Amino acid sequence: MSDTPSFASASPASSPSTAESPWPVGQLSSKIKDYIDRLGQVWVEGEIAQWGVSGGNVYGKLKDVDVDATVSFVIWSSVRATLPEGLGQGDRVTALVKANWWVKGGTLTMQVSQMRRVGLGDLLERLERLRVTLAAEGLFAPDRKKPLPFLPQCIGLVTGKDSDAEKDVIRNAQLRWPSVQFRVVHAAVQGERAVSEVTAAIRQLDADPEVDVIIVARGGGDFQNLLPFSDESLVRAAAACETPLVSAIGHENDRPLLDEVADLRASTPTDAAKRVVPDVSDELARVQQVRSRMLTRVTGAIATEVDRIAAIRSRPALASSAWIIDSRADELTRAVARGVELTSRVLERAHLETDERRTQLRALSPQRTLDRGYAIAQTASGGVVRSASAVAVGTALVLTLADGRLAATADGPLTTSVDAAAPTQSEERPA
Amino acid sequence: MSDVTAADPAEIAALSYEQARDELVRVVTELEQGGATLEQSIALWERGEALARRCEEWLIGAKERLDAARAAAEG
Repeated sequence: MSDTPSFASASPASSPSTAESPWPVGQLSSKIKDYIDRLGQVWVEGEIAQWGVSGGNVYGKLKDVDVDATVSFVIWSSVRATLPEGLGQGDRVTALVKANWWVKGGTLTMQVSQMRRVGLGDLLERLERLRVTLAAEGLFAPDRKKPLPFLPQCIGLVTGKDSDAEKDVIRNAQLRWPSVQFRVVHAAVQGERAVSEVTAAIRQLDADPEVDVIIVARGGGDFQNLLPFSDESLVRAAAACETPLVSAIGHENDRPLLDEVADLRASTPTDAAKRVVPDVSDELARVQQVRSRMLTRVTGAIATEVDRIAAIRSRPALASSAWIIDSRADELTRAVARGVELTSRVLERAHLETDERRTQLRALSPQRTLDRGYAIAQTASGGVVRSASAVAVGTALVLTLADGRLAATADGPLTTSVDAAAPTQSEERPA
Repeated sequence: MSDVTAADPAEIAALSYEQARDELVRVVTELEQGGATLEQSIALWERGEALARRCEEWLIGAKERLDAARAAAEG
């Protein structure tokens, strides 16, 4: 190229270098270029590790698929126009390159003259066959899908370290439910370690009893980058996972097989967070609403019952026990009063009768006769002496006078007149 | 006249609120009919009192629990 003249001029001076006569840098550089140019054009296969466009040219890096080896490459704009559309980072390609030593900068770059994707048709075909096989086994069947927990206690997250996918899932989940718990297992999400690491991460989280939903998240990528998520062993591990699993692998197109076996397919990591975690404010508002309705209903019911009991309590029968006693005490008082009244009436009548009888008695009394000077003669036995011959001589007699009684002795009947024992023998003079 | 046992606290405490309330209504109605003897009346009244107290305790307890729940919800 432009360096060729200087190379030509330096070429003859190929004397060995010593500390006393070192090569100029230009000579070294020219020799390197000489060596490298002999390599000529070669076809190489690798993965595009870096792809940067500048001034219409592409500067990038091509990486070995298996071993750790990388070379820089450049695609001039004229060549780039002839390449397949949409080549970029992560693509597995074969390229026709010519190693080119840039003398001025001291850098080695592969100059690309052709580039094509490797085995894309093959990969697609293999993938399609696997899809058909797994579908036939029933791994995609809707009735295998496990429901997600309404509110996950702990979300297991499989994602790339420090990836946007990780941040998107965690941030969006926490926005909706601040106290949501995560158990994050980082795994390579592209490259040759992706299958084994993602599979191991899913198994680890599935074995964790606290994790009740698993999200496998990756922030998109092209078909080849997503190939690990269609790997048979990884897809089978996901299908065998007991814990509900959500796939959140970027793009709408190029759906990896993981999407088919996942219990839920989210379009993006953000979408996964929204579908796994309920919105706390929505839920709180709903609970609050139900709670206040409940409280109103119960408060109302209690108020009704309180009124009811108060009404029963205020009924006279219960309001005071006094009426039970009082009514009977009144009865008693009335009965006693009536008893007193009736008794006093009887007493009064008896009094009147007594007075009457006394008057009658007095009217019949012999006192008046005695007052006039008569006396009653009685024997000791009380018998009234009515006949002079009825009493033997010497019989003791009692004479009742107007003002008292007098003892006497009978001396026998008087024949003629009253002279011998006149005072004592005038026993009876009927009125 | 139904036979009236005086207020047995354990028996009344075992009643549900509705049972206690219905029994209270029955007791009051019986008292109001006035056919009971004095002894029966007193026993009925005591029973009514105990039933009314039981109902009120129940309601006050329910109210307190409600207030506590509301306070906890607002606090």
